[in-house]
Amino acid sequence: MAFDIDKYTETSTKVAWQDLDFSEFRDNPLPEGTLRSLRYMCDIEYHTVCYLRDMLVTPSHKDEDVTAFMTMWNREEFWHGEALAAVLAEHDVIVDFDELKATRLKLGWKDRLDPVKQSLLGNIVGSGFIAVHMVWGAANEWSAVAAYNRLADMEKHPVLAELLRRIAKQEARHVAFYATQARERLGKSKKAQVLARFALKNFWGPVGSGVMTDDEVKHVMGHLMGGPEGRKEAAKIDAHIARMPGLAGLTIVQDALDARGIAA
Amino acid sequence: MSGENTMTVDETDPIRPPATRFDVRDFARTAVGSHRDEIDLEAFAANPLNPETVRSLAYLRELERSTMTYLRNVLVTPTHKDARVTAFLTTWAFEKYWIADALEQIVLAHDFDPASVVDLSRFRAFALEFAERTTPIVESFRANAIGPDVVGVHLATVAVDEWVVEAAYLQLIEADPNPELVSLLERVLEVKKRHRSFVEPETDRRLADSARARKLARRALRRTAWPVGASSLAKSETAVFYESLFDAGLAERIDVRVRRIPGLDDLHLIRTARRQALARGNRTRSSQGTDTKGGTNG
Repeated sequence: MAFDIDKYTETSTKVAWQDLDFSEFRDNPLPEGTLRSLRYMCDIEYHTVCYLRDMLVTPSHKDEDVTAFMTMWNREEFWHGEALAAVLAEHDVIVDFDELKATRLKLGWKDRLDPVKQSLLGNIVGSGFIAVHMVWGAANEWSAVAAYNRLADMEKHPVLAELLRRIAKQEARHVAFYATQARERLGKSKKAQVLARFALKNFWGPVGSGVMTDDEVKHVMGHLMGGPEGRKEAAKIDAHIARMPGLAGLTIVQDALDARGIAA
Repeated sequence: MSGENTMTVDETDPIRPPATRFDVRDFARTAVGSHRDEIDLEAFAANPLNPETVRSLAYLRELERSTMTYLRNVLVTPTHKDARVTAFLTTWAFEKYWIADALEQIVLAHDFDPASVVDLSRFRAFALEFAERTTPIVESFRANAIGPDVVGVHLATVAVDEWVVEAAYLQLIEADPNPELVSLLERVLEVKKRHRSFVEPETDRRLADSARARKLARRALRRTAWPVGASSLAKSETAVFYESLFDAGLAERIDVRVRRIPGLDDLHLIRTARRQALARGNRTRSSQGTDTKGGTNG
């Protein structure tokens, strides 16, 4: 499965929602728990630029395909943030840049040092680290696709479901990029496999952990990945990751659920 | 779109607070993507550009597409916390990607290898590799110790860089008024005008408000290799860039604008960059035994 970067950049677009009837949310508003999860997802999408920075400090920033992808990806995710903010606004939840800034300021020292650590580590191991970045991205994007589709299924709200499926469709293209890159790079290097396994097993956390509070992470994980149906989705993500060269047997998503005491 | 005012270097004071605040969301909403549909590549087959123009376009393509390297150094600093600035930079990088793509299409249509401008000697490649590996680390420690004042420095860098690159496009239009090229560059200048309308007032405000930011900006801008991205490009190409597109007068006109930025009132950034680039270009050519007398009058 090759990924055509030119085709991707040419067709990269901001997610559309202007054609959807958002007044539906006024007549048929979303429940509190769903709004809380949407708020989380909205923040994460806006914070993509923070992930971008973590990735740019690795040698990935020199690869032309990777930088082309990241330019588009970063923008598409920003627009997912805008779309979800528009849904929240219909429920009188206003997300603005100043507030996002406040969230980022709260991250403190841990966040400041992370890219440095990653850069040191990344530069020591050189281009093998790009594989880690790619498989990491794939895991996050698989999680995003699963989360959006699951919320669409659970909520059955006609307008929300349509919007979330559109977002999930774009996320699926991100998966295709990351997974193709990861598979190729892991396939070529035993060292990269060992490193990726080590990094995922020891450092991976659900998308948003480290940015959002533990309470919020727990809420979203429980909401979307809890119960038998949710667990099934988590197992599917793990199965995708385990099919990568050298990563058989990893169950990082299910482990993360267990660690937070999310009921199966 | 192609108003007369885009055809001259704007010499009115560029750093003025606008009447209304730049609407980052509107900017994102109306971002300009691919220019491919509007470029008639066949027109270049019938009416090709001068070889020097193509070479300059290849160089400019590299400058436009160096956004990820810029973001790499910027995002490890407190600048990444400012959601309004990062929202701007997200769309800015997107628009610049497509400007670079348009230039690439034209360069390729003239059978010119765009990668030739990044040819580096082995020694330089090594030095650059070392710098690239360490810069974000140094930046991160330094800028995090400095705090939010660094945002103004980053925006000032973009502002000055925009002026240099814009001046280059205007020079190209004058030197090689091929209608197809002119029409593309006019569109590009419109895109870049919006970038300026964000970074100029932001730079002004942030530097005017903080003595520390002004001090930092003075130091950082003097240490920057102009245009931004030049440090990873072949020195011979940077020499050609200045030699063919910037005379001493134009360099001075840009410096006048730089000096209007609060706290930068005695800098000669572009004059210095131009002199150094031309001197290096001449040295390279004399070592190769070719004519060294270029249009140097700086």
